[in-house]
Amino acid sequence: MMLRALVELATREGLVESDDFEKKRVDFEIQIDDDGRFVGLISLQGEDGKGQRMSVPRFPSRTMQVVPGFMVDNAKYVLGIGDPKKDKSERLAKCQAAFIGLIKDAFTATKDPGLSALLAFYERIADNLASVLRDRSADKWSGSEILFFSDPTLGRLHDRPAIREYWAAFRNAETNDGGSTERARCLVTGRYDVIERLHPMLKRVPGGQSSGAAVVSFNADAFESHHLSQGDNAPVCRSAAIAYTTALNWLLEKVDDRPHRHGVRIGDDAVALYWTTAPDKALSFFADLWEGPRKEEAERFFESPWKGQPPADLDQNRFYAVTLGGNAARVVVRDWFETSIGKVKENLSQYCDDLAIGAVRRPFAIWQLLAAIDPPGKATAPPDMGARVFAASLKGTPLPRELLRHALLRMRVPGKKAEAFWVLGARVALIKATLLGIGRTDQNKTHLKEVTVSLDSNSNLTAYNLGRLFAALERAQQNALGDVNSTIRDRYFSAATMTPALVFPRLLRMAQHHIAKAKAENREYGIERTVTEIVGRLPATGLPSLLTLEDQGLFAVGYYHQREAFFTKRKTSNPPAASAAGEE
Amino acid sequence: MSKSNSRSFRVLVSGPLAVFTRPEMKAERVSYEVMTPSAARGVLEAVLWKPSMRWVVTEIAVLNEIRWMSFRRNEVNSKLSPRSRNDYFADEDRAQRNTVALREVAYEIKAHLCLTEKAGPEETVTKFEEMFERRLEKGQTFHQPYLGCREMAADIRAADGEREPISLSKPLGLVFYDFDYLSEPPRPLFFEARLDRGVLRLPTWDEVRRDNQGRAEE
Repeated sequence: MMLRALVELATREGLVESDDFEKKRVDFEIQIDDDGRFVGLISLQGEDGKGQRMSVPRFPSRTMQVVPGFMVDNAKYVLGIGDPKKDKSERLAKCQAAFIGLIKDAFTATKDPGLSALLAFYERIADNLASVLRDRSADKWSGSEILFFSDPTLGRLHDRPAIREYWAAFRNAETNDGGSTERARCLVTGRYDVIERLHPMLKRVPGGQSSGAAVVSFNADAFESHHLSQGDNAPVCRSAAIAYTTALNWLLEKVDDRPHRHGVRIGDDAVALYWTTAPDKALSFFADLWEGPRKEEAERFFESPWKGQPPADLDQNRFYAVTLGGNAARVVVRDWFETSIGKVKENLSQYCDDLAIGAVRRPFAIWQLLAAIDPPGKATAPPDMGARVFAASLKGTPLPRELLRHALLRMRVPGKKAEAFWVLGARVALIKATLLGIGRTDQNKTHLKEVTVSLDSNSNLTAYNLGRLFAALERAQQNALGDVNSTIRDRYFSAATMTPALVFPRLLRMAQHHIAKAKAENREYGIERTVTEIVGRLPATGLPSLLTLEDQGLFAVGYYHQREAFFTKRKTSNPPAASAAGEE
Repeated sequence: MSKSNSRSFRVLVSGPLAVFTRPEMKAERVSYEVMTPSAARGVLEAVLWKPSMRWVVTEIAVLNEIRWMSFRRNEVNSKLSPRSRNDYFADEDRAQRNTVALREVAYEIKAHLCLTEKAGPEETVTKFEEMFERRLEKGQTFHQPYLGCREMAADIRAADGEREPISLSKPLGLVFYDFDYLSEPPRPLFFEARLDRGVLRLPTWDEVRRDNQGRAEE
């Protein structure tokens, strides 16, 4: 179904011009005259160093072997010029011979004057090459420039009708790289057709080879069955193979400031692509949400995600997402997801609400969330975590419980002074979202649904209040001593979250001294009242001796809320109003 | 022979993992959403199969929500038979492959069996019906039944009819039906599948083959 949906996308966006020709960026035009003499070399590269797009005979998919393009190809094939460090001259000669071979065949079949001029060009290639190198010296070529030929009277040689016709016929008769010409039912279109033996490659899939990697591929005999070889294992006709790969490459393409048109990098080795059955403006919002919210848009998104969006009439359209990773020459489909746009909007709204924490009024990008749970300089979260967060945001499923453990571990590492402010926010946001997810799915933990966006001073959850208390005690210390090298957070956070009964009595005794000192220096700022108020909310039966993982999460959220409330209080002139406004 | 088709059996097949590999994503496996007809046939054949009979699967009902998981395993690049080599070292021939599998699956398979040309005069459908029932009752199998991949063990028992299919309806596209072993080499057959309130209804072998051959001559 995925390939079928991609073929539909290619058709809708008009991505495939024809099976035999494709739009490609061409860097240089070699002008020759009717006798095959070199006239001039014209650079078509724009200011960005990219060539001009034009329709050319479709390129073959090749990795290591020598397979020439027809009439248009890179400098290695066309001129035999490569990178002197990497390319051996025997190989370059082979490439060029193969390239000329195709032209000779075409000339035999068509007798087109353009081709005879071109063959004449190759007969005196030594002279002509010297002229080319006068226009652009040998050290400037990398071998990867795409070139084509033109003639002042005959025009672009590969565009001549007779040559285009020949190419289409040649492609049709071509025995598919030695595969069978027997027709079979294409499992994408359902029609009977010649089966594509080797599928076109995808570029820009993380973890894949830079020369490209294929989704449908059978590059070892253990992957083949029943004596079928290559593409016969998964019968897909040529036009479907071209369409689905073109669609994927289009989604993967770099556009303006986005690394992928409709894709998000998740983790080091995967990219999630998404599209819909109808063009939808919401798609760019999705990208902002996952990739790195651009501030204004993201804020608007957060207030009311779908404000200014077309109403629900488009919500019935299908939404597709696929997570791809590379495995050398093969593309790995890690996850495939299909639903309606309306459902996705709903799930994403919930995901954003879950992540909302305190004054941080913007969604965090997935990479930010993951960066917030890894200790500095180390990646400890499993490599597929990004993909799982992405999947949870789309499917409306709870975030993996494992995240809670990672985030809490990270909370216990003493905070670096230089740590960016958003990091703590992102970490606690993740904890909060994970708790809410657990609360929704686990019947025994419905109390977790009570976690709020900002300080809930009426909460009766013990772990939450312990977190608040810890923040208050930290505050008391700061009021008394100012900035110290090692705060109680650095020294006691870990122990306080795990074994409160053991740690808090000592912290409270210490706080008495801190408050006394602060009072003496007139810097008490009402902290004693806050401490008393929070202690009053703790159970009279005594503090818990151990906290579960979820309760440790609540502790962290309480800590963050209370800490943020202190900041807000100090900034505003009217403290009570500020804390009330922070409540949901 | 009194009758050519047996009565319908309903069999409950379940397991923690299943991979009904899509042919287009076969190297890096991705499963179909629903059990394929040939996988259902394989499960039944694990309980009872003889050259003189064959299974005809008519319906596959999906009883559990479709859930996914993904993992990587170390596998190998080559195929070999014990006769061809005796010096094979898997460690030197590794291929790490990803699998997108189904989790916690349960299906109710509706199928009947019929006799083939190889059936002798003494063999009747009733005989096989009774054999199948006895074997299923006792939990006898020729080999461990599995869900698409040898490693994904299946539990198989007679369906009690208490479980309802899921409510999902959607087109599944062209799904692998089975190999046509009458052609040489065997050719894959596909059919246009649709999940209708959790039930996948299957065309007959003849219909699929006619459908696949008829258009081949276009």
